[in-house]
Amino acid sequence: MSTITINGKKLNAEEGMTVLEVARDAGIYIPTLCSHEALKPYGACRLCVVEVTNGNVVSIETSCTYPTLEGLKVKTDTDRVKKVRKLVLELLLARCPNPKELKALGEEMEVKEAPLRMSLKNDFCILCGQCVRACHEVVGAGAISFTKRGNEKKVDTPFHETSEDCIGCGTCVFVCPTGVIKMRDVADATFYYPEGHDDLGPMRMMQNWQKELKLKECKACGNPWAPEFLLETLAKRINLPQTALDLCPTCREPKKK
Amino acid sequence: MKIRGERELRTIREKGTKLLYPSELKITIGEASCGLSRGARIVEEGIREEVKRQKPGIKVGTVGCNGFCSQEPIVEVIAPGKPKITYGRVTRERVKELVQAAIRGEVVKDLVVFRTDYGDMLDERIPYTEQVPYPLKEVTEYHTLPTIKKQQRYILRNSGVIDPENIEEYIARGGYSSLLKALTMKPKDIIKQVKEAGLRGRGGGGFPTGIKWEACFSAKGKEKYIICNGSEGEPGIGMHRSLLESDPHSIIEGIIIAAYALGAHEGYFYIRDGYPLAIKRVKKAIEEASALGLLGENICNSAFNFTLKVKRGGGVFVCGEETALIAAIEGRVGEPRQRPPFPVESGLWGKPTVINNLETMANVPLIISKGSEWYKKMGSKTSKGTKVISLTGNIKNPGLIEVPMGTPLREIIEIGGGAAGKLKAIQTGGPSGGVLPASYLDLPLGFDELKQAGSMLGSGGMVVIDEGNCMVDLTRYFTAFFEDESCGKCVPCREGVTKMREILDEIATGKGEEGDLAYLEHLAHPMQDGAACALGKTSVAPFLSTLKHFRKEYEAHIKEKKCPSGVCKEGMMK
Repeated sequence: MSTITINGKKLNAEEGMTVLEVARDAGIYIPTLCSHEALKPYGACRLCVVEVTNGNVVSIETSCTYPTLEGLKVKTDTDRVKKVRKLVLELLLARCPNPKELKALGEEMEVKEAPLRMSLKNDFCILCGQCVRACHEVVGAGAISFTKRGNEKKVDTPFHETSEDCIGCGTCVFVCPTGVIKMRDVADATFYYPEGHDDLGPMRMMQNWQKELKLKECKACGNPWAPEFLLETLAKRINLPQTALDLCPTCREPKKK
Repeated sequence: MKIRGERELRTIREKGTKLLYPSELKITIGEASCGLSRGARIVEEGIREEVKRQKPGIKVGTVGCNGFCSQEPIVEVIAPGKPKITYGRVTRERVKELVQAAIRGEVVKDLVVFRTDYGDMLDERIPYTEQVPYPLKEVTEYHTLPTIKKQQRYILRNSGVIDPENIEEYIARGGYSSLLKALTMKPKDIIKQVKEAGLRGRGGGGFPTGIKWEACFSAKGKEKYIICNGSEGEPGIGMHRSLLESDPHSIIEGIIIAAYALGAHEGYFYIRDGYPLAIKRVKKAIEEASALGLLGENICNSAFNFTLKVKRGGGVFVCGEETALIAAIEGRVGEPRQRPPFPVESGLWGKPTVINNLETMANVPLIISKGSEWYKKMGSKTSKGTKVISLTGNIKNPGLIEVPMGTPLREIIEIGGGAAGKLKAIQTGGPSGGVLPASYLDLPLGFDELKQAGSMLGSGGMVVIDEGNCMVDLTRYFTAFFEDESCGKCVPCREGVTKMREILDEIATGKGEEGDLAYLEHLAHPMQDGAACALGKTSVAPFLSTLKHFRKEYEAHIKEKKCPSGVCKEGMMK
């Protein structure tokens, strides 16, 4: 237990909490992009910066990573903080002018668009790394990661080849804040392979990772409901018998009478 | 044989002294990367051939770099009863003549650079001869050279004198006596001495080493690690490479003492893969030290165990940052993470870890041997000891020098023989540092002194810039370096540096617009605040410092479309 001050308000923090968590619990708004409650703090987007006074040292720090040290004084809306947030948004809007979420954040911080002198790109990935971290930390598959460095950095499978580790769970799609990662389930994939393939059946396509996974049909209702590889991996990991995941969630539920 | 105490060390020391002061003629060639790039290997082969032909039996050996980069390849002749003679700029064609002269006891007059009458060990002075024979009296003595007189060479004391691949020669120079002394001390006392000496980290940050050690010493957990940072990533700097290649044992001795003080039993020596010779020599040094019982189990019969491993790095600039370096050793991508927790609390594998630059480590045996009182006397008010400086750029005699902290910048440039043209500025601290104009020449060397002036000492690179250089072009070069080296994790560094470089490109090619400078400043200040690590925060330093001192040059590029130094040509008025 420690006590910290945010914007003049004295707040109690439990051990292991970050400044951001304490602020959120107290209803103090701090904008974030790369932080997610299911993931470890990362500190890449720099949108959550706050001004921290620890002893005699005043510094700009990311609230998502900063521990709640006893006696810490935090300010969330000083000029220095606002300038950093504005710059981050300007730079992100120069990279990705189109995602709605970014535009909304921009409006909130009075940044409509990137300054005229900035060169523009039309990307949709802001490199927040939520997909990569979710794949490693939550799913445990490690199918995707960052490749290259600096401005050429991007999220990809190793060597830009079909990932053998991707189980098609779709967590990356779920956490992506800009919706650039896409996945779709098709009833019959044969349509996508006009030459040479027949009867591929229902498949899940992870479009960004060039991975296609056969979907398993429910034994009771016959509807395809999850990738076979995903179910196999799950069964292995939690020691379930092969037949345990034969039914889809709907058919698994006891029928209401 | 294992070293168990003073007695064994003395035996080896005597053996090594015979190698340094041979009873027969000995010829050595300076073979660090600097010498090798100027053809030292060819000269060595030539000498070996000539010796075979003229008088087999003459010893031929190699040494490291003695800092006279402009004189490479360097050959030295040690004859019993005579001062050591150093020849510079030796070519394959002159080898025959040189060997002949060495056998006859003569001197090749046009190649000779200086003679050395005595050698300075860590604790004593041993002369090569009592009397200097007549023809050599005309040759300048090493210690009276104007460049050497102004220097105080403690870290570089063995560089260019000993064979880096022979531990006996290092011990002969007083090596590993500090370790023996340290092992009789209490760990707390060692930390106290380092703290009192005022030693500050030589990697660039200048954090007090003693305080770092103390924090790690009192951190929770039995398992602790020590890492020596040998990843030198800045352009135009080579002093750490030279030290690794010329005197690896002095660093290793420092690491062992640090490990003993902290209670670490495992250490890593992180060296960039771009330094293959350094890696080879450090590995050899570790082997030799282990064979003598200076590494491994029960070091010098003190019941202290410590193993040291070499870890090769990819040579990425950001991997000099502590947390990125740890990530790289753990096998992850070399990206920095947010601090706190600091590595002294949670570092390698989550255990308390001390990371020190290799030059910091090389200072440790010196402090233990001579005491903190002696060490404190050298230096400025807040920066103590000496600093190795890699003097490059438009200077007459580029090279490696070592001066006490507090030496005025003017004197440092004088050691190098002065600027080649009219001095315009000095760039200190590598790309993360800054540019100081000629009016700052009286500034004393030191961490805080240079920081206050808007630059930084960094790891000790000093680039002399004369009037033939354009500051906009220079800033563009350094900003492009940062763009290339950014890891791409945080937004301000990844996106911001690119945007800055683009505008600097435009200014340098005559497409600059009014308001560009204000726009660049608008980018630079929040980047300093917002970037995740020191690389990102200092990536704007080249721009901010040149803007502060050379705003007129930027304005000439933008308004008049003119480059005052005539460097930027594309798109400029003639």
